[in-house]
Amino acid sequence: MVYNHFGHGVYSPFMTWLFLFPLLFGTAVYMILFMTGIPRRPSSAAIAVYGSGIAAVTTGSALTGVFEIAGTSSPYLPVYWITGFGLMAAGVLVQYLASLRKPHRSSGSSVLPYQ
Amino acid sequence: MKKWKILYDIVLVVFTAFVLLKTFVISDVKTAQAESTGIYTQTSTSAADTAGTESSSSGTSSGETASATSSSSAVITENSYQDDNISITVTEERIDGTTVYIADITVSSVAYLKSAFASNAYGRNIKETTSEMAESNNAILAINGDYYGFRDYGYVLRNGTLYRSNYESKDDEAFVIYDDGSCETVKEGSASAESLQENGAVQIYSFGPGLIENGTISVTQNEEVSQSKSSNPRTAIGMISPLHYVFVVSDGRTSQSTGLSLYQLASCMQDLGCTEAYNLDGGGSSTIWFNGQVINNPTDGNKSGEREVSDIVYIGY
Repeated sequence: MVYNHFGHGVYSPFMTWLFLFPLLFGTAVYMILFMTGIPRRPSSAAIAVYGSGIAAVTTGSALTGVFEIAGTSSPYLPVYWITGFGLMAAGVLVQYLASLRKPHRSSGSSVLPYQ
Repeated sequence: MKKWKILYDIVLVVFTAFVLLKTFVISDVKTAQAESTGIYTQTSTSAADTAGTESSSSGTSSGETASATSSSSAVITENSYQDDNISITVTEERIDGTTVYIADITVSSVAYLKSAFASNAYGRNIKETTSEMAESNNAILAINGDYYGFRDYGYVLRNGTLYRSNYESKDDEAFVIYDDGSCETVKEGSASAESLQENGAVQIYSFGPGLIENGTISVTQNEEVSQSKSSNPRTAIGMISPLHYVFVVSDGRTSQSTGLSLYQLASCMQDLGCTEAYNLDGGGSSTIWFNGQVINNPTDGNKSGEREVSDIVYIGY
């Protein structure tokens, strides 16, 4: 909103829809995991790597929006997308490997998810 | 993992700061791709001589070169300039609630229509105001150019020298001025900058879009420059016939002048008799200089005053 105010009515979808990256890849993913009852809380390492990826793509989207509104470009923008989605994939892989190493509790457990 | 997070955040912030500085602040001087072998010569700052004096030049395609010195026989009024090689008349009109400045230019050689770079250097984030560049190049009349330095793509050919030959999209349009004084708008995907240079191009600007092609308006009423507000200060260059040009600059983003849409700008150029016309960088960049001063009201909508830009188009010796 602030940037659009100074943009003389110029908009960029990367700026407008910036919030979708943390919303869809962050909040929505965790809500899906919670609702499907995945019994194992993601490891802190997986969360850290995955969250870093979200930060990168969100920053990349913000910068892309800034540059589009200004009418310029940068050859460094792909670094954010590659790094971001790469880290998100790495976070999923880290969690998958962690789940293979330690078997989760039986389905009769009274332990709630994310304890 | 806390250490990883902190380290990662630092790297992200530092890298982002670098990208922003590299894009908007850090100057990056580059070299030309191919030197000029055409009609433009190095101008001399020697004392005024009679108009029409020719200086020697190698590789001239038309056999005609720009006079090395300004004319001492010029007749200059508040709204006009006239000598044996250059004739300029500047008028101010109200069009669609906007003040528009129109410069009608006739030259004896296209070599008197020139381009200049900020700080006389090609590259990114090298900027000066239009008036600074006009003064340092002894321009009689000047307008802001296509602000090539804000982008990494788009043909840049100035005074016969090729600086950049890439483009972002094959449909991007460039304005070409040839050594015979003719002009046309071309899609960058249809002809390479090198081929245009070989065919006699001496100036290529890459902002766009083209406004008039073969006498017909080539923008629609709903068309707008990418990421640009519909009513804007505008700068445009047009050709009525070879060696007969118009420079048009409109105010905008003020209560006195709302600005022009691209279609309104194209209509204005058509009404002036242009057979070819092209949109240059507008908004806060729009500036016209004549007789030693800025004659329009440059503003970016928030504050008045000239914006520093990377290049100008000017008439001079």
